[in-house]
Amino acid sequence: MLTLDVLANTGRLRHRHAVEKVVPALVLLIITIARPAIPAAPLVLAATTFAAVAVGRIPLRRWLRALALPAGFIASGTIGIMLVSGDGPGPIPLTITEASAIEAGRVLLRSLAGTSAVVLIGVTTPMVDIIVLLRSLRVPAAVTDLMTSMYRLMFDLIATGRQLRTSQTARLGHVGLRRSVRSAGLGTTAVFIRSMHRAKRLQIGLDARGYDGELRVLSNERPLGMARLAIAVTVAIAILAVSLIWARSSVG
Amino acid sequence: MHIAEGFLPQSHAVAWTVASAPFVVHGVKQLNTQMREHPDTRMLAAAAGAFSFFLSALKIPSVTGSSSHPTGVAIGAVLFRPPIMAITGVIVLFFQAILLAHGGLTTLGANAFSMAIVGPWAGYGAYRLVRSSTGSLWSGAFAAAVVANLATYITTSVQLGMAFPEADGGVLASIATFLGIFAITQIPLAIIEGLLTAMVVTWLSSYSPAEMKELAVL
Repeated sequence: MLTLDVLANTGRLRHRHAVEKVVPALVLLIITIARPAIPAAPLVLAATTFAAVAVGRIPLRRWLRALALPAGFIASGTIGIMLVSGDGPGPIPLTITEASAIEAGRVLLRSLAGTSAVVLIGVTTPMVDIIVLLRSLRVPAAVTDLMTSMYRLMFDLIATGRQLRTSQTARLGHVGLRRSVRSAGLGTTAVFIRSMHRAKRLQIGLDARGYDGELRVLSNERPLGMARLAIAVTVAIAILAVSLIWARSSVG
Repeated sequence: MHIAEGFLPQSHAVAWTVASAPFVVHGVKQLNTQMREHPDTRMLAAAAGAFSFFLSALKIPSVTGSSSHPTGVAIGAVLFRPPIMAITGVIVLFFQAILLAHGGLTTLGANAFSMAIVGPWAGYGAYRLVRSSTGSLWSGAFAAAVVANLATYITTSVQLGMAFPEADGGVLASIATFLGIFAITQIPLAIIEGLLTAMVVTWLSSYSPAEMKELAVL
């Protein structure tokens, strides 16, 4: 239902230990943020694409589509960096300088690379495994339990919301702004009421089974592939090394 | 108003995370106490979180042609109070980053500050003020959503302005630029979400008064 979630749960890397996927992606993310955009960002982008498409066997088109939506948000965000106050050609006192355009380009690259690292986690690691990982990192049980229950309820609400929207559209409920706002309000109300009822029924089910404040879930034991983890982290470290050498050679 | 992954320099990313941390820790403590004393409200909190995520996946009509999504900050703050929103908001932002590639992990702290802390408190404040002075649930909910939206948008503009000061005008000029650009989409959006929130809250109180009494809204 959510593209990234579907990819994570059907992908080739689904049964790998979460650490093998999350740790290298986070190292890449940290390198992206900590190092100048050139050359780190394009290298990180290449590494995440390779990991997703060549290792994870995610079709290139689906990988690119997963990046396209955040890319739109990122591009519109960089407009604010590109425009600086000053006398421009139009009636609005905003202009673009060479420095601001370069800065915008740099942020665009860094942001795309960082996003690709997060999307890499999204398309390879099922949320359930991430929650198990968080629990082993001592995140309080109240939080991980809340995450599990939210994750459980979310999909139900999204499916209901989509059905409601389809039937509203079929009855011309989304023709024109006025009617569309009203339909959106009615749909949201219906989903909210349903989510409360759902939550209550789940609670009754838990109580009936002797729920005492903690959800214990069995997770699949997966061996941690140290060799695979080492290879992935080495690639990330290599990118860091290239970035450091690049910085030194451009100074000297 | 999510700040995308990689948008903030590392020092800013760390600073905003530190700024959000006490609120989130407070939220977790409240959640822990609530779970211990009233384990039956656990699913209610989960429903609040799931509902916020649902709203962000929902498209609402927007005048700029593109459709945008509501923040859901105000509904959550009115129905479930701001402290609970701090923790459920962080989880929602985390889910959005991993499942929708919306927002990010290094910008989670900054986004939490604007959307899980400033937005809910401002919206809740406006709700209490307007509702007690006019006595109208509709006006209170409308004000909550408009104020929560605008407060979130102003906070985000300040965060971006501080991260990207202009060469001549510095931080203030940069904040003004971001405010101006986002105003095009955010002000109409705030009004539309205001109408939506007011409708939802008033309809809820007529369709499902039992739940609204339970949440102490009625």
